[in-house]
Amino acid sequence: MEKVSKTFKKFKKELILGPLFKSVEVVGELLIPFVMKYILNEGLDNFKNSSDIGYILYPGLIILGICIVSFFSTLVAQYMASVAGPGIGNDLRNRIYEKIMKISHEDKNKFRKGYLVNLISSDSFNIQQASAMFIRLVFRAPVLVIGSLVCAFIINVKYGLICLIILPIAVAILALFLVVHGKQYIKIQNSLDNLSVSTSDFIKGQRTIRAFNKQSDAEEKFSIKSNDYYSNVRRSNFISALISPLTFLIINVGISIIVYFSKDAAINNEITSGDIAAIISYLTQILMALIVISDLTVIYSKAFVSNKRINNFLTSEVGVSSNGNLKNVEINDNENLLFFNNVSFKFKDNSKNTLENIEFSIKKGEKVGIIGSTGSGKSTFLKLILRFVEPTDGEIIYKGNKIEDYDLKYLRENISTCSQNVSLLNGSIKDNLLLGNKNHTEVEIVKALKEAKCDFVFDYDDFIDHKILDNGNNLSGGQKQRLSIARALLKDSDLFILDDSTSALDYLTEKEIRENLNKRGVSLIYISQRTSCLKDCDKIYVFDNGKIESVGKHDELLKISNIYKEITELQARVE
Amino acid sequence: MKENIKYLAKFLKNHKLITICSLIFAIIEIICSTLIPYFIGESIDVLFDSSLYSNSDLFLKSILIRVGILLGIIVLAVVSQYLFVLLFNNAVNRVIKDIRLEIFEKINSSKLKQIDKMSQGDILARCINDTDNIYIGLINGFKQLYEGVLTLILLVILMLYQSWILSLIVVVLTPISLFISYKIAKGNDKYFKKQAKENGNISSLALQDINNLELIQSSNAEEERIKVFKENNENQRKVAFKAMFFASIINPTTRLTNYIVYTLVGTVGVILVVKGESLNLNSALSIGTVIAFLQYASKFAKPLNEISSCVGELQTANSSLNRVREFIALENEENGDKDINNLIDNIEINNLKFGYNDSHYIYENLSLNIKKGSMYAIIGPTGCGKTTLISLLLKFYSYQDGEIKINNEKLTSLKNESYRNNFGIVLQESWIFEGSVYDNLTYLNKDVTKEEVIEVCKKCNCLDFIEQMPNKFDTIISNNYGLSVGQQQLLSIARVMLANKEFIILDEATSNVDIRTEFKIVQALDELMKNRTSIVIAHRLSTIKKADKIFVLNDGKIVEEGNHNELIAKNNLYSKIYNSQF
Repeated sequence: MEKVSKTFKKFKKELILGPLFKSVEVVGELLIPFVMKYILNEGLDNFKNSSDIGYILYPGLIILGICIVSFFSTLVAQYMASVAGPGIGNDLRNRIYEKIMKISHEDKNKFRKGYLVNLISSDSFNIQQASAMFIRLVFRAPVLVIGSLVCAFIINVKYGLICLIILPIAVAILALFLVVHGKQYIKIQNSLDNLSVSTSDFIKGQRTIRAFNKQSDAEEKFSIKSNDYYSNVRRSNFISALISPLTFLIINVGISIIVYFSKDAAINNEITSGDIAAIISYLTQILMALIVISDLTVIYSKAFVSNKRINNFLTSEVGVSSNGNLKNVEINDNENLLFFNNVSFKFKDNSKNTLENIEFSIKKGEKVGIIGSTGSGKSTFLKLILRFVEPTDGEIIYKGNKIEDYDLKYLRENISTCSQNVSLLNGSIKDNLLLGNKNHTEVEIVKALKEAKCDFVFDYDDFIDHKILDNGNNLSGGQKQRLSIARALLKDSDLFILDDSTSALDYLTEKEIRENLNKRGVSLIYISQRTSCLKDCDKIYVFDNGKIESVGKHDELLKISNIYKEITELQARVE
Repeated sequence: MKENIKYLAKFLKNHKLITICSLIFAIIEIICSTLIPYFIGESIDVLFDSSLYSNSDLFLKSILIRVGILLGIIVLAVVSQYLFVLLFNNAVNRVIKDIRLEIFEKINSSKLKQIDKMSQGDILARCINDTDNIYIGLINGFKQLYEGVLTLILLVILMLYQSWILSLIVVVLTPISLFISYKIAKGNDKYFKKQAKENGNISSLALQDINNLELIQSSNAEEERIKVFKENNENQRKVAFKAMFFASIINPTTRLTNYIVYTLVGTVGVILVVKGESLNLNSALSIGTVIAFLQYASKFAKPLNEISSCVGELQTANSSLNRVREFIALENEENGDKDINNLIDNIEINNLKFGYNDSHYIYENLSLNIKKGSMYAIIGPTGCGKTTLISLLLKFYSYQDGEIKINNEKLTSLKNESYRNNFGIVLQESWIFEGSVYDNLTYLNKDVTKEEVIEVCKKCNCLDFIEQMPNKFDTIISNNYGLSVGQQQLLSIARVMLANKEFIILDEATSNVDIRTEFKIVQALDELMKNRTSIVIAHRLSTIKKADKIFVLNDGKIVEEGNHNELIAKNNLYSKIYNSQF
């Protein structure tokens, strides 16, 4: 439960020493105009009077010395910034990622996918950037502003006052710009998002658009969004184009004012041309530093939000609460493999139970079917078995012991699942088949592929090294389903759960795979929408609205279950 | 590069006036802002000209004149700079809008085969991100290049006019910083590219693993994936360190050179003020000129640094332009010139040969015949090329050999628009665009009354769920709205029914919707095909059984044809597929 700051502590050295080294440069930059002023005033006069070039040469060398010292100390600071910035980002991403791997199904719903992805792909980068900038600029810019102002006062109080008056004007203009521009930026970003969404809609719908000759209509719709974006950018340009002319205006008007107000002082010999040169330098430095600060404001306002978001995630409790240590339990045939004793489940924010009073059992070696329409609670049932969610009431017994007494890894190794929507990871087919368990020989892989009817894999020149791209989009739905079955077969588990996992296959292929599974003689739970797939199950549970409506064999259910009967009848009319 | 400039020039021509105006304002701005240090220097000389002190009126007047000129030039510079930036951004913005439209038109008109080969994300990136890169490249890159070069030329002239010795210091030494930062930037370019790639890697890795969290957790692969992520993340860190460090030494290096020039100008300047006349090199200077030169030095460095820092943006813009032009260069789909006004009476496919590439043919020798008024079903094992047939019929792809004839006209000779107009098409993947339910429904036919829409929705079983939406027909929906797959299918069937076409082409979806919804879909499809000619890529046996004629497709050709009873009697592939469900 540790915060982002734990990561900062790892880079304490860089975060403290870095700005110190950077300050050396600032001091240098403040000193240089002073020395130059000396050259232009005293240096010039002494040189004129004594012809000793040393009056000019030595101060010149001093400036060079200052430059070189600050150059090297800056390099040290930049080095530390480059160590700390990416290092902090890296450490944060590792911590976030490790935690993500632990979160449960409910946590995932709570945090939402986009949020989690952004923690890694954008929030941690914002903090990375801000940490580097902390070392490089956070001290530099304000110190430069204040230092320049102090120097201006030292040279001449009147000039100091002029700078002091110009400063808030410049700050006000920059602040106004930041606020207005920030608002417009959001608008522009939104209209760009709109344009992207609509363009990707039209790319997806290419076939429909062409089939119905709707090209010009699509172009019209596209143009509306494109024009909307265009006019937002145009409107924001009126403001954003002002920033550079305005800073230019402030500096130069400032210089003109200084020149004008120097007229009396010049006559009275109170100031020299060297003073004016120095003041011009300081004024320019103040303005430049202010621009840097306004850039930093943007970076830091983003980073603060990100810091909050990451803290929120890192400090919250996630994952299943308990993890037992039972492993390698064996049971005899005809003993209950899995048993649901009056189990109910409710999602945190729901008022109604998703599953209610579920009594379910499967004996070792049995084939059990589950049928029900969408929303009947079938997939939640599956999640309970794999402990992605925990029952709110009742208990689940696996091989004679409470399911939470098992080592989570053992449990998930011992139960194989295939779902309708198969997910594959980018990499080779082999990587996917061996996910979580690398110890399989090629013979075993080939056997599993054959049993799952993955004939297409044998057609690839590179066989199981064939690459899976785009989360499996280079494969058809049926191919993905068969690979997922092969993956499950490799696990050699005691319980197989097939969740509509042959829906994209033709009847012939599906039948062959089922026969292969039956040959293995393992315990099977079939979840399906079709009664035809469940006919030869030892028993079938009919789920309805989170409850078990009835249990029985196919023929029995046709008599006792209205839902089962309706599904069978509809099926006959559909098929 | 040259081609890219030509391509941009083509678009800029359409916004000639605004572009030329902006470039003229830039020239005014640059002349004025370059002259400002000169006038500041002059004012300072007047300020410290003790010979004027005796006549205070004259002194005051001289100062006022100088400051007045200065303020005038400043205002002129500021105004023209603003107008330049405003107009130039506007012109570029318009160009980008035009380019986007051209890309979009290309999406709609190029050969589908080429589009299918690219990922949707890639096409989207070309239309949105690449054009944005071009925008940034033009705004930051070109603008600074143009401004920079003009400023440099003017400054050199002005400096030479005032002091050739100090000019020499500035002009010879300042570019050293440019050279060094260019070298660093160039060497760093590969780290930046790598960094962008690594960032993309870890983002897509995280996205993928979060999407597949259940799979990973149920496979006990958490540690394995953490290891993979950490490796990628470490690679990112290493590259990010290099990219950041090398990029961050550019500024200090530039500052160092600039301060060296600054010091030299100051010291040498003072020497020349004192000894200039005695050196007799036409090098006498006033102190005001030295102060002006101190500003010239930083003014001279500025465009040089900016040009070097915008090289990256220009490079990105250039490669984005390449990608855009590559897309624009895609061939347009083939189109014939014959209108087909009367309805389609028959479709004849003879010895068709087609493959996505020439090494592997999906159809070797496909022949079939379709006549108006009947219902046809095409079935076959997964992957036999059923859906491809529809793409060929709709002229999405062109075939290699054989022919397709429509009413005895070659398909290739027909005008795409008038030909496709004959069909009502329901594809496997329903297409819902962001817009109201009503707009989605009437997308193909705007000339329908609300009553007709309601009637059709009733027939297609979608009225119930539409009525339950918050704003009913006015509810804004999209792909991500949360409609179920079944509901999306029902909407697209209703959409086609409203289009009221004679000829229906249907690619039945295999997606698993629950049986009640599936029944609704079947009812809707039956309603749609009633009294119309239809070709169905069929998966549901109920559809197949109803067909007047079934084509069984296998190994690139039609292996059996006939109605259900005839084919069952043959006891061949069809009956094998049919019986497998029992």
